[in-house]
Amino acid sequence: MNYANPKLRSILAGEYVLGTMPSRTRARFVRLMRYDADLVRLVGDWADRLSTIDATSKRTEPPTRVWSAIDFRTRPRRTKNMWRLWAPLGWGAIGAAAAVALVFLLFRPQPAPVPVAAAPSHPTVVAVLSDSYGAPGWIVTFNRPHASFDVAALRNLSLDDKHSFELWVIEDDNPLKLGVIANKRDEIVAIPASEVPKAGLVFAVSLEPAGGAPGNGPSGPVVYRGPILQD
Amino acid sequence: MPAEAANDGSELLELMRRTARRDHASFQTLYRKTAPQLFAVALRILRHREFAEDVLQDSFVAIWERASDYDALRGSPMSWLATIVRHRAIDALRRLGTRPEGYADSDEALALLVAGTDTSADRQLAIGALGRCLDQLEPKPRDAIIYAYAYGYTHEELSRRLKAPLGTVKSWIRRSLDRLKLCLDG
Repeated sequence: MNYANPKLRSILAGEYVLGTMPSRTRARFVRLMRYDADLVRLVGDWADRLSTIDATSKRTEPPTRVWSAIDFRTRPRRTKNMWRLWAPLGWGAIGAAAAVALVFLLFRPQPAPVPVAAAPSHPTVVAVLSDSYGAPGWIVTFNRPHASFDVAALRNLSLDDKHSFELWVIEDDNPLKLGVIANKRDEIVAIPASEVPKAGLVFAVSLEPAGGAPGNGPSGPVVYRGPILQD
Repeated sequence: MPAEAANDGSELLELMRRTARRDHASFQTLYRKTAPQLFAVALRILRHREFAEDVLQDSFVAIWERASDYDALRGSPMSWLATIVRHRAIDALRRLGTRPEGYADSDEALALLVAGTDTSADRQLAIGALGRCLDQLEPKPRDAIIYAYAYGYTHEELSRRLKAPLGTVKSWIRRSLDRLKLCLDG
């Protein structure tokens, strides 16, 4: 497609705003906009021209739960030392229910049973890490053949590029650093596991400077945690 | 430009600037001021409250993360926000692969564009200009633009609805955009 033709550029910007571009074409167009301020302006012009149509729809107040969810996903976290929050685990009813639902989802009976001879190598869910509202953020599975904890983000957890989430395992109030984990949905980070998970230990996620805590203990607040569910 | 943008334009601009600086209280005010219109936009495309709520939620998380990308080059704050919501609503439709059950086509946007139930002078004026320019198009090319914008119709859906081959629909849209631009800017 000839992106130098002024008339065509404006038409493409209009199609972008209309929403008729196939997904792949739109993705390519978005990439072009990054280096082409004039294309950005053409898109802005079309958004202004056509948004008149939006004024014809009856304004509708969304339910308050929408803002609650947005607030939860965007609210900046306080950065005071929250060590004292380690102790009581305070699993909210919602957190526990979410964990049970997730475990159920992952352990649903398989349609085709695994032959007995095959080694049971499928990963085991060991913890669901939730915030103080009970909203799950990560699921930790123990991957026995690889001797690793696979930590998967369950949704996109917003974070600026000056910070990282770091995973710890807590035994008798002593944190052991496991490393930085992903904050994009479905991204998995495998962390070498030196030992088989034991019930009674707790995983915790702290907010750290990009790259992880400078010392041996968390330097930022603990924002997610979850006990190891089983041996 | 819609009346909301014309009346609250400078206030929304200020809220956008503060949101870009990670001022969460201003972000909340931005939400309070714009969510009813943006929810209406998502509902109009999706016709399903739960899906529209999800789209609104994801859109505002994206707005929080991308507010620093916004500048006046991108149009009025309201147009920029509406584009984010509309694209996400259209993506949700594409993921579903079909329109939600009970989805009924409606000519409401079409009817209102012509009739204009709101009496605010600014809005009448704004709709008047777009309405007049839309009126200069042939009926089917004009409907193609309105259905695509208002309901997120794909080329295929427009082709079925307007009973015209895909290629014809695509050229209607291109020609209509070109004529609308000439008419509105001229």
